[in-house]
Amino acid sequence: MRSPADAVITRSVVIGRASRAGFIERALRAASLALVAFAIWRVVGAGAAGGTLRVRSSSLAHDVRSLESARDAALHVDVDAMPSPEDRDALAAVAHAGTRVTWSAATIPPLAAVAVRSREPGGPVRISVASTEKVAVSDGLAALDSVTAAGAAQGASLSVGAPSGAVAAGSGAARTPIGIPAGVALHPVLLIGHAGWEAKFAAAALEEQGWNVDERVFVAPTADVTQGAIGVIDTAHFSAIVALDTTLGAVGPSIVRFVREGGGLLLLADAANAPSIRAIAPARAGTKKTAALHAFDSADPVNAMPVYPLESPRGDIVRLTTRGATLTSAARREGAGRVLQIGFDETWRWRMQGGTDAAAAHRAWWSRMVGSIAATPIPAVDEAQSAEGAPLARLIGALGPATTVEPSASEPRRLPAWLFPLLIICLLAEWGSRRWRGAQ
Amino acid sequence: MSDFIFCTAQYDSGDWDSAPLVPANLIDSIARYTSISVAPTGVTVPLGSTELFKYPLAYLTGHLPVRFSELERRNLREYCDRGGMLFVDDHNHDIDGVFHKSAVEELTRAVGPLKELPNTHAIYSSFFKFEDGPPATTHELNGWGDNLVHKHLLAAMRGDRIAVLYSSKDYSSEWGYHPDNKRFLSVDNTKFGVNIVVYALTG
Repeated sequence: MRSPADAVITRSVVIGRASRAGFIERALRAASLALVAFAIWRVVGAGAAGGTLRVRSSSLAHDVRSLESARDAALHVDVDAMPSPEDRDALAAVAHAGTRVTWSAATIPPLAAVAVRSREPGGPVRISVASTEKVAVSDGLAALDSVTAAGAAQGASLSVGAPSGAVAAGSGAARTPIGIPAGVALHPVLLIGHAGWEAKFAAAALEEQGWNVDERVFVAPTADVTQGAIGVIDTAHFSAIVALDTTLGAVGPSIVRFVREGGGLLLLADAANAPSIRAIAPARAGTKKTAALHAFDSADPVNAMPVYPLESPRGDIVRLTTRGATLTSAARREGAGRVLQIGFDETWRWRMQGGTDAAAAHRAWWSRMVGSIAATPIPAVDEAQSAEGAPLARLIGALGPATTVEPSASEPRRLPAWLFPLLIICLLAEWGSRRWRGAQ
Repeated sequence: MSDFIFCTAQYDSGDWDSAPLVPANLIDSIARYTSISVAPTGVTVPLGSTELFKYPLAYLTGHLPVRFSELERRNLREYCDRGGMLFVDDHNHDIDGVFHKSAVEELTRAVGPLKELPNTHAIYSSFFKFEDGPPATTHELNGWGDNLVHKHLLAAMRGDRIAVLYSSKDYSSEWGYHPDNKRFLSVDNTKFGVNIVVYALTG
């Protein structure tokens, strides 16, 4: 049995422990309040004076909320990675709200990239890039190619058959998505002319390249050889018409109407002299000039063909190619359609007499010529992606040109990572202490 | 537009010039029935020459055994791959004859196997209509040569296009006369030759 003296001693010990615990609890509560006050000051209060805040573009995703609530007079962005369109727009919004926003970049090369899908079967995509550095192009599966676009004025381009997934170009720290236009459905091509090697090989080249070709070939005054169901000549049935010579028969007026409605017309050799389409031709076909046919294996085999010079050109034409002083091809718009006149004749010789890759080159040439005038629906393109083709230019457009770093720049007022864990520990410790006392 | 020029292929072995009147006769028929711009005289071009590529349709015939040189074989293969068409006619009308055996063997080595061409093929309706396929020749009907009426022509194809058209019907004898003598015929027997040319130019 304990004596009264022992009881007094025990009570005084308990009171002493309670007093210490109460002191610790008060200290913890004070620390918690101090931490909360610090967080509030950090977020709201410290910027009231209006300094220059300095942030990195790679951490904008974390900083952007504090930027929007900040009251800085100025903000400087170190661009170590190209800001996303969302971050760039947020910075522009901050700038428009009155904050002076500047930026600088030491290692971001200028980069521009754009994709155009040709109006040919299979629709190969031509990607053109410009940069001061090597540019790597990739799709969703793998790297497609890398090109050196030295001389930003000219740039470089590459052809991609069927890119898969998102396509992007990267140059150093700069990277941009490339909007790929969707493919389009092409109506058949109608080929009209006299029976001859040019008709045969033009049709063969186009068909081998994937075009659907309908033909109307004149064999005799009372006989045509036709391929396909040639009915009404309009843009609902044909994407382009190829006239190989002046033999258009009674379909000339239909062809003029077809072009004005948006169709494409390719006039080869002297076809422009056909009376029924002379009014829409870019020029008159002159007297045929022969060429050195033995030169088909040269670097420019097209110039080894005979040519009908384009004479008396109209004022609204676009001059495309010349051979010396001779205009050899030109184009113009007629209504909603396009007319391309090419003076070259006997292109079939290129395929038969050219080098080892002549047949493929001949096919590609024909397909490119017809594709350049073919009537197609306007291909859909991801506008958001295509607009990002030149990210550095877009950044300059949004924030102005780059500047040097502001000397008084400070770090952003992000809340320290340790703050909330420490606050939780303090509160838990205070609560635990009280519970422990109560349990006794 | 360039003229169509009738081309006879000259090969190193055999008698490539056994039917000298055929080119002029077919040129006459083309000019007579069609508006195809045709050169008044044909040309003869060595099968192994690059000149052959200037003439996407060539005619080859003979009686004697045919042996192509490696150059001729390679040239013919390239010619057919690029879009050229060779019309070969057995001047013997004899499937057991030396021309037929050797020519078929050589053509198979150069461009691939020859197969029967269906009598509904476009070549039989490219200009004149031949409902029953290749027209019979008087040599077939008179029992000359192998005493057979050949129902089909043979062909080596490139895709759906005829690259080599082979005939055992001896059109070279049938068409080997001066064009003026057509007036003595009730039916012009060169009409199928016109079909071959029109097919080559449009097929």
